[in-house]
Amino acid sequence: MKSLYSVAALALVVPIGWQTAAWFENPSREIDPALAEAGDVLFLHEWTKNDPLAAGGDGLGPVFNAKSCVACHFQGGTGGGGPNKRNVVAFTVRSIRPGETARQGVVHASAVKSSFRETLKHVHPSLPLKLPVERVAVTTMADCFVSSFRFPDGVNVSERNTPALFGANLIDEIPDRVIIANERRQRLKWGMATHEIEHAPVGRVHRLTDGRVGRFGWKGQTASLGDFVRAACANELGLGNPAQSQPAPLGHPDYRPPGIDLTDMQCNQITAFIGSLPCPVETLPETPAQRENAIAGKQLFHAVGCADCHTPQLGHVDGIYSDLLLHRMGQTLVGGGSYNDPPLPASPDIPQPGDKPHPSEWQTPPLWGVASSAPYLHDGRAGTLNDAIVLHSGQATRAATHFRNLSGPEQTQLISFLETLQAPPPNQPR
Amino acid sequence: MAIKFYCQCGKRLKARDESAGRRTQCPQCGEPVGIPSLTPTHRGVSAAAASMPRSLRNASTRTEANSNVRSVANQNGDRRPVRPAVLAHRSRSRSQVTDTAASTAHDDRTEAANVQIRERSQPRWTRLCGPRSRLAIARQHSTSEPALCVVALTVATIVSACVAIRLLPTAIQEGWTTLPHGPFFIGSLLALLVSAGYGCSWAARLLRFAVGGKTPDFAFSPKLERPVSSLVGWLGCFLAGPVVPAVAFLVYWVQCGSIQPIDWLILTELAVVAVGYWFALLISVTTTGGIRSMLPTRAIAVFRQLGLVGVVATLLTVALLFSLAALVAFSAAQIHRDEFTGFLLLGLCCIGTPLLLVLILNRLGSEYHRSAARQIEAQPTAMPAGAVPTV
Repeated sequence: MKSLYSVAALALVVPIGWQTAAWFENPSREIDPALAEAGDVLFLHEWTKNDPLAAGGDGLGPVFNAKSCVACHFQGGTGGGGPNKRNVVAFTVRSIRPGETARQGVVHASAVKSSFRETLKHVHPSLPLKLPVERVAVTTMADCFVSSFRFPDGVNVSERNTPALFGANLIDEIPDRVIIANERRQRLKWGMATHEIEHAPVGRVHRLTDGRVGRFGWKGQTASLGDFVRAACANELGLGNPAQSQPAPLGHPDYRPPGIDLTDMQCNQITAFIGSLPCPVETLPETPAQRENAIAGKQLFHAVGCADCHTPQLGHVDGIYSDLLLHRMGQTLVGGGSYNDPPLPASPDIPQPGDKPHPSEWQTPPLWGVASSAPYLHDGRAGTLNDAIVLHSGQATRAATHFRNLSGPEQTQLISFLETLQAPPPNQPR
Repeated sequence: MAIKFYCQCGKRLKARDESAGRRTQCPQCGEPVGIPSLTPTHRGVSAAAASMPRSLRNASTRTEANSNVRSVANQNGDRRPVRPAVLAHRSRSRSQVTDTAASTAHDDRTEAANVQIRERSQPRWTRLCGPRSRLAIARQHSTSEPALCVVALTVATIVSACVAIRLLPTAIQEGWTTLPHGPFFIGSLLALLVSAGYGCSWAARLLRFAVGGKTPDFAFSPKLERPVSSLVGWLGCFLAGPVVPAVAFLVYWVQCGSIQPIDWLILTELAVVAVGYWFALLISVTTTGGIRSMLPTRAIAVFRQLGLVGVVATLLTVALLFSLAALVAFSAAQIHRDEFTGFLLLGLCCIGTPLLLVLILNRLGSEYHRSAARQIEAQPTAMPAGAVPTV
């Protein structure tokens, strides 16, 4: 009988020990400096049509948004965010009328030939040629504008602001388990509420079709930094690669490139370079009064409820200020479309195929380096941190309301805390 | 030194030595109960034997009926069954009793009172074991309308759970004190605790019946139930050990990420340990009572006695609990979307699953009783020769 008990105890202890041992493994990955150095060259390289670095393909284009990576990712240093004028225009068309095909993609800003140039007319005939239809400056900071236009039924066009890439390797290293644990903790904390509600900040993991957890992109549509680099190269620069083919011009869907522009090695080099970018740091002001303000602001950041989604720590990554979960942000922050998604259902209320995000769902952007990455929100509609907080709605409505209810000095304290989250200084080690 | 004895309802009681032979009222069921005398009230039966745990008394009673053991007649003509365990005890107590004749005659008043108690309790017990329907038994046993009580309790549980779940996010975000619906939230939590207390009390009584080898009495009466002590008892049993695997289960579920087959295995194992441990402690406390009955060794002893039935019942309960957890999680999510649907789903959980759990626990209790009886039946071979009763 004793041996039976021993076997039972072993059957309990061994699997638990086996599984939990993996939890304490260090997920850090070393980056090859040689790869990163070569990637630095590619990141700064200004691509041209039939570029010699793109040996097998057509080089830049045929349609593209910029000629180099750094053309968009430059605020606060190489690899930072981009201004509104570098926004990407994404569209979704739902098949709500007979004969219409649901599709989504990107309306590129430039093309190698004028005949390839894309306009919103290619998305829907009733749309104007290009965005913005009406641009209203909301701030003088970082050329921030917002556009407003009533789109035809089933058609949605929205812009995407360039995200900063600092600390991307640390985000890449976070185990899926940690992000899923965050999702479960939030559900438990808010009475097992689901992500569909808007009265509590309950996020959800974006599980991709292959089972991996999405963590890069405004919709969390990419699972790894390598995939993110490959998708961006193809869609923004028109550099096809083994993992992601370049998009054909909307007016010439039959366009076929002669070959791939980037090899896997080149993609790995760019990935290594981005991975080698240092992590943003929290820089407290030098004067004692400002320092106290920032410290008090950090406490307010938690008290107001910002930290419910912008969690300061995620796994081994400290200071990220994100839970990397999708949250419903209300009808004022709706926007669909991302790279290479499958066709959409007719109505936004119909569940998306697989685990696709709802139009109002957005991944919590990491706040590290936020002071150097204006404008804010997915389309850069908020030029200042104050505007960005106030424009939060949906699951963040309560936090935004609490922020509005703070006194003026308290609001200043909270903002001064956010301003301590700076882009990393040049030459800072990773 | 206090006299320890048991009421018919299973409540463990204590009385001072000077109260020996008198009558008192059980604080649990309100029925009169006789305090055993320190000396034997009739030939061949020790006073200590009368204060044995009820489960063992009943177990031995059943064994006796099967094996046609002789009964002992006392001076008043009362026929009392002789149990092997009692016989063994008698062999020890006989040397202690110096003057049997004197003790037999010493307190007629006490004996008369005991007879009276037995006479009062016997018809009721007969009714409980009789062929009547359980509803009729419940009606007769309870002091108020049982069905109405159960319905009211269930509705109170569902409503309070719904209100608590619905208000939880707001309560967390706004704080308990500044919450506009604060009184509703706190009230619903209290109502939930009271409902859980009554549920525990009801289940505890059923378990006592099962462990005692009696037909379960499903009657429910708020006047008879003791929600606070029952809730404390059940929580105590949970906190005395099963809380460790239960917390490990929760932590593992949160931290394990996407649940793979090995994770399911681990979660099931932890749930089995937590539930089995808890059930064993509940049975242990019901049979013996006291803090010592919550020791892990007692839980192991109970499980060894239950054997395969205990394992099967625990596995069944774990499967049921997994289903319950999934349904409760879905219901809670539904409450945030649509209160009415969530209310109905949670109602299903509140009505169905606890009832099934109680039935499983009841079955375990009965099995424990049977195995105890078998154990006692096997003991007479070791009985000293001098312990054979003389009629």
